[in-house]
Amino acid sequence: MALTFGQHPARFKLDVRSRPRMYDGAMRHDLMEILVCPMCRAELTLTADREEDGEVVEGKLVCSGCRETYPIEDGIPNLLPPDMRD
Amino acid sequence: MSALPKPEEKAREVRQMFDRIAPGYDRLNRVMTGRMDQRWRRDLVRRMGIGPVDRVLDLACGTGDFAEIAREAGASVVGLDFARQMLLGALRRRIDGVAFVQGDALHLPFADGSMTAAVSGFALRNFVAIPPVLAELARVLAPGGRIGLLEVDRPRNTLVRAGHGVYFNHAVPFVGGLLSRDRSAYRYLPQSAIYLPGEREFVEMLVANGFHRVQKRSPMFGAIQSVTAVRR
Repeated sequence: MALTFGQHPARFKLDVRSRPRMYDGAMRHDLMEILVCPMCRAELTLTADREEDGEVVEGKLVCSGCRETYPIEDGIPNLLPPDMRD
Repeated sequence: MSALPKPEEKAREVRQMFDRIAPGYDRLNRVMTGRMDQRWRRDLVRRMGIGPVDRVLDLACGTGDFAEIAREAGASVVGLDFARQMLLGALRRRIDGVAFVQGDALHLPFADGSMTAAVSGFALRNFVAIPPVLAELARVLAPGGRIGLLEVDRPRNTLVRAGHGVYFNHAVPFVGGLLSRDRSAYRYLPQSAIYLPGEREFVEMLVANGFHRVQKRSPMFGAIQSVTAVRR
């Protein structure tokens, strides 16, 4: 049943809050086709810890060459060189 | 007093600065340029002929201004920036079909030849060095790929240059400092123009790093440079 503001305002608000935030810019699987390790340019292997609508929200990318691990948080893969991470 | 960081500290300091000024950054850019900045971006995307067959890198994408315009032209777009707060701002714009990646311009995390076009807006002066960034862009672009670079410039006309100097060196730091409450950032931004190469030097840099067919337009009486080139 569709909920509208008029009929079930409280329920509607609860519904919005309980739903995880989804960003359109979150990391998609097809990005893997072009991503490489910034240090050695080898391919990366994706491990998705949390996905929403086919997009990776939390996870990591592991380099198949130098074994460096790059985190994915809030849908953004952090592919900064390791010495530039905070 | 100089607001410019020491060379070895530039990358970190500039990144921290952009993380600090990320909230309100878009609004400030619109105010500072009278909304002209988006017009320059649109014009550049149009001149580059970006369309649905393109995969476009928005280098130093900030909150995704260029990415959004390239996406509107139908391209699939990847935005890269080193400042996380800027990328979170970009995600909040919910631009469908654009991916955002945190990374460094000197170590692009993209495969050779994986892009057909690359754009960058007002970022050149923030890089530690420009030639290695151009070399990285040439690497990730397929042969025949285009780049489009927007930057500030020094107007040639003496009168315009004087007026521009007052605006850029006094009004920008004042208004920027007031609205962002970050005076040092908006002292850095105008002063950092000193990092930019002259016209001939810039063309030589592009050619030396694998580009040809360099073209330049100078909107705003030459206060802005809009440069396109093609990867050989």
